[in-house]
Amino acid sequence: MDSERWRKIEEFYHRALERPSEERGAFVQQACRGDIDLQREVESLLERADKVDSFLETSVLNTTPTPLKPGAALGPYEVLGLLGAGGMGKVYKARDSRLGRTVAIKILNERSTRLEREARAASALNHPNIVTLHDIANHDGVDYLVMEYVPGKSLDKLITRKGLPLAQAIGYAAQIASALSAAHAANVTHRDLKPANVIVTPQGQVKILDFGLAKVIERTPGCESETPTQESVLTQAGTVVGTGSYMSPEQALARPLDHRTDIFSLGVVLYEMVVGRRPFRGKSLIETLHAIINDPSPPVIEQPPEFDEILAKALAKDAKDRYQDASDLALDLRRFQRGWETKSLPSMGATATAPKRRIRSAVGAAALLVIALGAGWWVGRSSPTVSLENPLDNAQFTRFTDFPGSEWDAAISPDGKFVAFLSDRDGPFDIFLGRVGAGSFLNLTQGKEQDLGWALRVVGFSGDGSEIWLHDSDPASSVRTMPLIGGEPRVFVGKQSQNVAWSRDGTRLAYHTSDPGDPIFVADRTGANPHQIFVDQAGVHNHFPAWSPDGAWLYFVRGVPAANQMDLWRIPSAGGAPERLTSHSSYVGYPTPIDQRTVLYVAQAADGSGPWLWALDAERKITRRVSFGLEKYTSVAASADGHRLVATVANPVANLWSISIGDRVAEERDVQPFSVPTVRALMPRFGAAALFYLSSRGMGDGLWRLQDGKAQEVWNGADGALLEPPAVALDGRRVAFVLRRNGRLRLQTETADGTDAKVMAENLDVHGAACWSPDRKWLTIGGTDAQGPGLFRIPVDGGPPVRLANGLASNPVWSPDGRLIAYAGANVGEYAPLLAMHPDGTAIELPDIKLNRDGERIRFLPNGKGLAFMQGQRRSQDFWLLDLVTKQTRPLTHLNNPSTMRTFDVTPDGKQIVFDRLRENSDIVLIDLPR
Amino acid sequence: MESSRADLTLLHPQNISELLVAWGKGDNEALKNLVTILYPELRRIARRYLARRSGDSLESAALANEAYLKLLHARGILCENRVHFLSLCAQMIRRILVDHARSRRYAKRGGDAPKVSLDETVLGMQTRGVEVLALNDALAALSKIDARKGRVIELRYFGGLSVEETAEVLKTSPETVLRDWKMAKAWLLRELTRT
Repeated sequence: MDSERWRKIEEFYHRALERPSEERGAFVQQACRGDIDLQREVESLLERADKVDSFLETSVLNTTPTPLKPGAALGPYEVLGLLGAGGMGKVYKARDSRLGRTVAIKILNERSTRLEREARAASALNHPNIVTLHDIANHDGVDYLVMEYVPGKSLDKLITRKGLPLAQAIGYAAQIASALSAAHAANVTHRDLKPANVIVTPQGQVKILDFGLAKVIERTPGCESETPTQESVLTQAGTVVGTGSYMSPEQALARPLDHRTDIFSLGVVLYEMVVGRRPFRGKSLIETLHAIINDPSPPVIEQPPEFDEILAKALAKDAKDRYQDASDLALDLRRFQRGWETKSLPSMGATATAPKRRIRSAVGAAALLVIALGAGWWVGRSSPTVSLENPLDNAQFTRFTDFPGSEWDAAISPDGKFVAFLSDRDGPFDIFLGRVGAGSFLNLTQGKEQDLGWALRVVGFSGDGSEIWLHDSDPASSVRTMPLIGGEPRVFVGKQSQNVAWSRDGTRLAYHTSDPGDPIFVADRTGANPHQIFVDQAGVHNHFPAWSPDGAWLYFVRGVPAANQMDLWRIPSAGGAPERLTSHSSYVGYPTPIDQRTVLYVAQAADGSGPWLWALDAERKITRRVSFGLEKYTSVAASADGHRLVATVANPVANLWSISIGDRVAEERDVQPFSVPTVRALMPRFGAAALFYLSSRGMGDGLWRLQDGKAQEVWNGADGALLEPPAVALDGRRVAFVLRRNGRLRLQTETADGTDAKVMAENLDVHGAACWSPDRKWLTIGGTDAQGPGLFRIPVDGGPPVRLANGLASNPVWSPDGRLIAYAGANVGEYAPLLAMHPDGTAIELPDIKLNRDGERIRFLPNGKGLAFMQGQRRSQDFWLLDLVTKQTRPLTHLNNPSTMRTFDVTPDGKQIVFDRLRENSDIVLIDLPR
Repeated sequence: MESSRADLTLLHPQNISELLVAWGKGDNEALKNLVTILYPELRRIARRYLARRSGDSLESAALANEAYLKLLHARGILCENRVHFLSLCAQMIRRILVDHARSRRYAKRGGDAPKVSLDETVLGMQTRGVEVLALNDALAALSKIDARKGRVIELRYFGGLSVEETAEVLKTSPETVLRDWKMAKAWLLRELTRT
């Protein structure tokens, strides 16, 4: 069937459907204008319109699990009976046949791909007031959670219409607050705190259910959405209407949430416990949400005014005015309780016979007075949001190296006097040794070690500080040691041993090997008598072992490095079960204990930025970022006493350089800096009298235009970071660049002054850089449409893109005479072939040239007779010239520089190549902590 | 840091992740490799479900889900790869179901398999799944006319993807997916119930 006809059928079908069924026949007849076949086709599609809706509507993958009967087996668990059913699923009492214990099993109604991650975070919570999550499992495709079985009643069944006795309510609320505080410190927010999720045991102990699960259950598109929101409740109206009553204002408004939403919900629960009804009520969900957002909570006049103050602070509409930390609320509750029980609350006055009812304005005045006198012991107290102090406060920072190259993986001797590290100062990465305060450095390996990688710690000091250990990146090789002054390294310990660590007293050694599951061994100081204390399943890695100062624990980084999903764990050095300490699920490295409970380490933040320096309180499992600013911390280590730290700090730089195009092959010494007025500059592109390039003010890279010696930002990186070079029209009057919009890469154009921005080819997902046709009527770029990847030509004045070639194609460049488009074809491994075509899509044969797959590496000479290209990797990146007449290639440069080169352009006079070089630019910093 | 290459199969997460990324960028070689790696595993899981049930349909939740969770367990699939992964599963599930149905038909050939009119089959089995082979043939015919509509059906029906997820995979708008979905279903229903 031809596509025009098909399009008509589709259009008439949809248009007919918009009409009442009795009018459809007439419409179709009229629309088809006597084309009987067309009319019949459309009619036949409409014939079963009533049945189409349900047809295929249920995917083969979707069905609801049927309820389980007692005796049913779910993996190792035997179902004993149904405990209850809630919004998320059914809960069964069950028996764990392996451990002989009773458990509660929650079977989820819906599949959730986030279950694993969220539940894992929740399962790390270990608190007396939080129901412990034992297991997250899947049986026959059904997800279920195995939890601690807690006998007792849920709080909603305990609260009567008169509420609970005040002491009891406050006791429960304080327990809940304490649980929230612990969870928040672990970055887990409940989001659905309500009496039905709180179990009270016969002994009066409170246990909170379903931590972090609200986030998992909600069905919203995208990976990181907030929950439960007004929307999700509204769409499920009727089933979970009750939940609305405990929502925070920000939740009711469907705004982003943080841990303070739980504090508001606890305020509501506390109010209900004391008063017997909820503070915000309405006849409908909408009314309830409206009250939460707008109405003040009615005062609790039956109780002392200090109680109202606590409630008011918990129920503040604006999260900024609320308790910032649940532990502060717990503290205030306990203080209030003590004061109330001992009749020493301020409102009880000297007489100890406080009037039971007070007028609110008087309370306010009294509270003000209390604050004014500085005697307020619960109201107006400033509450720090972070309860872990920064161990780097008042530390002294000293720059240890100032090489131009990269430094990594710095280690410090136990006595804090020597630093060993990797650097490429002399070419390849070598191990260097420096003495603190001396300022000179010894290259210990002199280019003899290949592949000193940095995925793991590869260099360090022996326990007595007399030797250096090293490991190359080959998994099959073992740790070797060499004297401090250098010398031939000799194999030290174990087969395929990777990263060794001596205990602080120097008597014991820990290391892991490269066998599957990275088994961890503990041995004598010399490596003798090794015994394996832990091994993981294959695929899971255990890196960076580090001893706690007392030698009782080994800290290590566990996870899947390739996916950047790692966290800090610890295990008793005598062996036992590992315990998770952090919940980053990102790149984590270099755990460095500085005292018995504080561990410094480097980790990427949740947004992928960093790595930054972090501190962990291993006892409370609280973490905080301790480095600030934009400098990245790539490694950290400490002396034996934990007082002197050494860290590698990177501050990426990018600059422009130039080299002449001549008959002679240019060398590294011919490279000249190409100076621009900004500190950072990369991805140069010339257009008439201007140079465009990328630079940034600290956020993402924006587009800058340099003309007549003045640089002007024409696209602000804060509005969307540019990741590809811009395309500049030959006359320099218009530019095009690729931006991420709504998660898709789109091509956008604007004038050279940054005005008149237009999105091109809205439906084309583009990749790589674009190029203008010389007449500025077209843009060409690689992209993907409904038919798959290809090379496209987009009319600048509007209209659909024209497909020029099929298959992956990137970074096209248009010849100055407009007769040729060169581009990089689909890559094979690291390389992509150089291809070319006429603008109508007919291919042109070129010599076999392989381009590096990253970067934009082809530019025409302005006279159109040659094509400059960049080839090679890392240190051997060079420029070449393809003569388009003779089809011969010749090298233009023979460079030797470790920087990454991304792209280049040829100056409008055709005499020079201007290119960028990107460097990590790291240095080593000594950090002396205050004693 | 295991060095064995023998188990560079399903549970080698970075491998799959990388392939998914490459496939997402349009590398068809990566797709071939992904199918080679994932198909046997999916089929193994599917066989377990199908063995327990008599119908042609997969009534249990799960197939892609289990495979997906399994990979997630290995902590290898990055979040942004999820829809690509699910869309791949949709293709494979379709293949698995078709293969399974074919083998059942061959097994029954010559026997007295009851004749049921297609109309009855299709409309009566809305929740239990349609006759897979007939649907597969019709879907193939549809794809020839309009490839995207074929994909929409595959992703939604065999892959369980939402409208938004389908739009993400096909790089189009949810509105377009909904229009395609309606039209494609009407067309398929007509094909399957044509007398």
